[in-house]
Amino acid sequence: MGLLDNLYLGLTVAFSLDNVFYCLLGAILGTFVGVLPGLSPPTVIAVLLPITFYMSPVSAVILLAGIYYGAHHAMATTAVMLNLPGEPSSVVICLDGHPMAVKGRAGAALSISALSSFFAGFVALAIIIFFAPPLASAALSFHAPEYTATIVLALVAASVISNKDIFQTLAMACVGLLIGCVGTDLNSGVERFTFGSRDLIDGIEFSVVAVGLFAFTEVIAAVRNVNLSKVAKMNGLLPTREELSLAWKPTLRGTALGSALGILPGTGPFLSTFASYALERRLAKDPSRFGKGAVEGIAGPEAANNAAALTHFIPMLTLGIPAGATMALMLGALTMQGIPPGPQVMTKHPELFWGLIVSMGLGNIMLLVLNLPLVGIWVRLLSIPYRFLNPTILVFCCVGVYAVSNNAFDLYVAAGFGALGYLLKKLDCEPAPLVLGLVLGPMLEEYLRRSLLLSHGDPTVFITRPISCSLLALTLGLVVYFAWPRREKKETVEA
Amino acid sequence: MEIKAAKSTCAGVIFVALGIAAFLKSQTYPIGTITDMGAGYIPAAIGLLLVVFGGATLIRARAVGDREAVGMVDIGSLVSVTVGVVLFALTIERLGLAVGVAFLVLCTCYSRILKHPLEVLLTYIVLLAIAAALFIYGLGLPLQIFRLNF
Repeated sequence: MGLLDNLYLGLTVAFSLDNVFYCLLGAILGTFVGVLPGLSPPTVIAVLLPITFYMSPVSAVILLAGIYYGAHHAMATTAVMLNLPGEPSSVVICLDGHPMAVKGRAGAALSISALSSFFAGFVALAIIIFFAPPLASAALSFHAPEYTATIVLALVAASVISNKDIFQTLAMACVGLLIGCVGTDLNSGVERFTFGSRDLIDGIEFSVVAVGLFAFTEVIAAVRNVNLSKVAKMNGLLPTREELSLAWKPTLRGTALGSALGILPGTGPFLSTFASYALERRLAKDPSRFGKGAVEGIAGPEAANNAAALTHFIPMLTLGIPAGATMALMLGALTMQGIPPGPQVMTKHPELFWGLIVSMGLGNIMLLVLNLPLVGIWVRLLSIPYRFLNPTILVFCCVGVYAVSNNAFDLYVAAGFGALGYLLKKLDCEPAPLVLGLVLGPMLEEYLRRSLLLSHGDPTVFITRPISCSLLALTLGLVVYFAWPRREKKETVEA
Repeated sequence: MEIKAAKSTCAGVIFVALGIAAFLKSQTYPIGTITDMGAGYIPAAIGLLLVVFGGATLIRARAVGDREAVGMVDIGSLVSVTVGVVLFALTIERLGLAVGVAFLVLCTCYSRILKHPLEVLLTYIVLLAIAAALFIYGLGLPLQIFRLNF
């Protein structure tokens, strides 16, 4: 009965007129972002972050979540039509999606990707509905050492599972942690790294860093890039019966894999899509078809991608620990609204939790409509010239950053982070771990301090408690697993 | 501008330098003990970690012979966008939105302004109208479109 009551509450929240509007707006914006190469979800969420400050918390989260999963849905379009991955996770879709487009089956590739995403989305939602509440009550028994271990897992996992150098991404997470230290230390009142500036006493506002690192950096990199490449031709949306029968099993497997991996904080959709692709390839009777337009290579990873994107909400909503940069931005939006993320969100703000869940179901249906019958419109959008996009992003960001606290100083900080972000991009340093570090830094410091205070300075507290010990063991396992094969690969390339 | 130094070398050096700076600066705050950490404890520890990861980046790059150069850095766009945002920040409270938005449009479209002046002007007018409608009338920000206040 409790579940039905909650779902009813969610229905009333999600189907209120303005929340349906924000859900639709989020889905449309997300599709737009996903389709346009070079515009990534964190950029657009960073642009909107200051504006969400003026919305109700539920609407803000519904809008941002819509952009997030909408973009995950739509990235397949660009990957298939242009062979351009919008994010590392859609590299996999390019592998078999674009060869299908070259063979003249672009429509079928897009339908299969949309249908498997749609299916995976609903399964993942059901998993959230049934698993998040018990997990949240289990999370209430989490103490400082468990939180410390979970945060470490999230930070390390997000750094390790990118396709960049492992030490560089870990260092980026540390830079984020350092930026999180700026401002007055809450425990002692000491001002850290403020360099005598009054504007830095309260620390650096999260949205300011995000706008700088994502939006400004993107604009700097794209100022000279004013035109786009040619688009593959589209004909016929319907997949053949043969293609459908090839697709349904990989979809089921991808959904299961993605849902399971998505629950781990910090793993990101990158891991799930690659894992699913590898799995399908291993299971296939004829692995040589992969890379030449195999339907299984689209259905599985797309389902995994979308399932993981949604089950990522479980660690975020129950523990307050974001799974990646986009999630971190959403958490930032909640914190700005005065809602501290954590297991108490579900009990203290049930309308937020259940409203979001129901609206994600609604959004999933909207996306199927947006992606299938309307896909032609989006493909045409691919030819929007960047010369209009660049000034638009800048104007929204600058006024938005100013609006957060009516302080022009924030704009100088954002400009600095924009320049820094561009240089780091040139050095192949990813901004995502930095943002995650910035969000998690203050939490990590607080929990680490508390753990060691309670254990009287005994650091073994993290390995004598079973939950924190297994989380740390998982962290170590991830590091070992992802650090080794990469080195071998580089050596073989050279040899 | 083209930079011939290796990406990993630059990144490693930056991380090590930042780590050392953070570690030294943290020494000016109370460090405390592991049971009762002071304000400097965590920043100092992160500084050390940065030195470790930065050093590891350098060593790994040398070990596997990773010498991929940084390549072209678009200093022009970097400076123009940064300066545009700074000029916006300087003028938004003193001269209003119209001047601020003009700087933002100029800094992204400067190369096109002579070839397509009408298009740039139109972009400016549309963006100014949207920004004014959304932020001033929609969200009620205390900003003005035109202003003179030094």
